[in-house]
Amino acid sequence: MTLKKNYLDKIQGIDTPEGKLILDSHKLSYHHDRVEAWENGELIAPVSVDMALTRACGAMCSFCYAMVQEPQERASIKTQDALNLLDDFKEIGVRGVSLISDGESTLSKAYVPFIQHAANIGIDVGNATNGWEWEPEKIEQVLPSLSWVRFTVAAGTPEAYSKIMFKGTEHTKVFHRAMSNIKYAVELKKRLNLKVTLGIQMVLLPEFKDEIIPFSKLAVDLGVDYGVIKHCSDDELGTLGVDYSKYEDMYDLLAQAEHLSNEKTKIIIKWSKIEDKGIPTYNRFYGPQFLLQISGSGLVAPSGMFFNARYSKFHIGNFAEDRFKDIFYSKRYKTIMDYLASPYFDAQTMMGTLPIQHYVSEALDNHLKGVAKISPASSPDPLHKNFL
Amino acid sequence: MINNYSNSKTPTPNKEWVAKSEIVRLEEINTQLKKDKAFDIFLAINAQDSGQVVISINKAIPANERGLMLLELEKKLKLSIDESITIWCEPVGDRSTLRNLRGVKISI
Repeated sequence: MTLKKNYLDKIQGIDTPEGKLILDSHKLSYHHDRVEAWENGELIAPVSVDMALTRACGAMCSFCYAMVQEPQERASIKTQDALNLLDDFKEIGVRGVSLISDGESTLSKAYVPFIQHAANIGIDVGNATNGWEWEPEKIEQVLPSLSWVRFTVAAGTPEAYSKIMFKGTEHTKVFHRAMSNIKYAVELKKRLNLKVTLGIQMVLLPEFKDEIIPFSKLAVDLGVDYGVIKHCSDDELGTLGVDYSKYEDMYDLLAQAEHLSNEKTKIIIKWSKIEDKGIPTYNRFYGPQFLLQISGSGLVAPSGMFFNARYSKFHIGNFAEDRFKDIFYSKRYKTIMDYLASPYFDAQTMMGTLPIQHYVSEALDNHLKGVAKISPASSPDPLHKNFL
Repeated sequence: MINNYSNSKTPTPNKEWVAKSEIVRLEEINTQLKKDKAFDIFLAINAQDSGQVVISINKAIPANERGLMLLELEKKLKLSIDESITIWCEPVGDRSTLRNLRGVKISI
C-alpha cells in the first residue's frame, strides 16, 4: 500500500462541517511571517507552546511518554505563575497554547483561571485530557474558552481502556466516568453552539491492534468531531519498547477505520508519523523555535524529548522561578536553540522518536534543503491555525 | 541569514577515541574536569565508542544555569579530546508511584 502519495492531501487537511482540520501535518504556511524572520536569523517567538500545569496524573497509561520525562526537580506551579506566563506569551507574540505535555492539567488549581485568562487576552487555548476529573461544572467554566479538547481514549472497549490506562480490566469505572464527561461536553457544545472542536485520540501500539475498530466506532457513537489514531513515541534508547516494524501489519485495519468516518465524525490516521517508523528525515531540530514545550514541573526546555535530567544541557529555566520573558530573551535560550540547529545535534540519534515538533521540523528542514519550500498560505484559515 | 546546517554531518569519533578502552577515556575526561574548578562537580561515568559520554553531578544546579554550564563543558571536551564528544547527564526515573507500577526502568 502506497500512502505517501497522499501527502499533499494531508497538508490540505480534512473537510469537516466546521472547517479544514489539519492533524497529520503542520500549519507553517499560515505563519509565514515567523518563517521569514527565522530564515533571516532573528529570534522568533514560538507560534505555539505545548505545556502542562502539573506533572501529576491519576492515570497510568502504558504508553505514557511522561514516564521518561522526569526532570531534576518539580516546582509547584502557582496560579499567579501560570497567569504571568500567559501575559509574557502575549507580550512576546505566542499565538496558541495547548495544555498537553507531561501532566494532567485538569488537576491543577490554575486550570480554570489559566484557560479563561488565555481567552481573555486573545491567546487560543486547547487541552488534551483523560477527562476523568473534568466534571460538568468544570466543563461549563472552560469549554466556551477552548479552541479544542482532545480526550485520550486508549481503546474502544471498557476493559481494554481500563487495562491500558489504569490498573486492570476490572476498573472500568474510569472508562464510564470519561465517557459520561465527554458526552456532556458534546451536548454542551451543541446546546451553546460553541466553536470548540472535540476529539478522541488513541495512541497505537501494535498490541492494541484489536482496539482500532472499536475505538473508531466509539468516536462515531459519542458524536465527537473526530477520532484520531497516532503512533506511540519512544526515547532513543527504546525504554518503552515500541516495535515500529509491526505498524505496517495494521495498515489495512487503519484504512478500514478511516472508512467509518461520517459527516459529523472523522476518523483520522496520522499516516505520515506512522509510516516514518520512528526515524525522521531530518538531522537538525528547528521545530522548537516555532513550537516550544514546557513541563508540568515548570521546566522550560525546547522539547518534551529533553525534559528528563539526562538532557540537562538543554534546560533553559523554570517559569515558576524566573519570568518567561526573561528566559526567552536570555543568552541561554538562543544558545540552546542554535545548538539544536547545528551539526553537533543529530535528531536521528540524540532524541526520542517523532516529537510533537516533528511535522514542523520536517517542513523547515525540507524548506532549507530546497525539497519543499514553505509558501504563504493562499487558502482560508484552517481550524486551530495557531496550533502548529 | 540563518546558518544552514541541514545537510552537514555530525562529527564522528576519530580513530584514537575508538581505539581507547572506556577506562582510559573516562580517565582522560575526568582529568580535564578536575583542571577547571567550575567543572569539578561533574564525574564522567560512561564513555561509549560513539562519543556519547554520561556524567554524574554531585550537586543541584538551578535550571537557569545548568544548560549553558553543560554546553560549555561539552565544548571544552570537544576541543581538548574529541570533537564527537556529546555529553548527557544521569537520567532520573519517573517519580509517579502509580505509573511506576508499569515497571518501566530508564537506563543510562
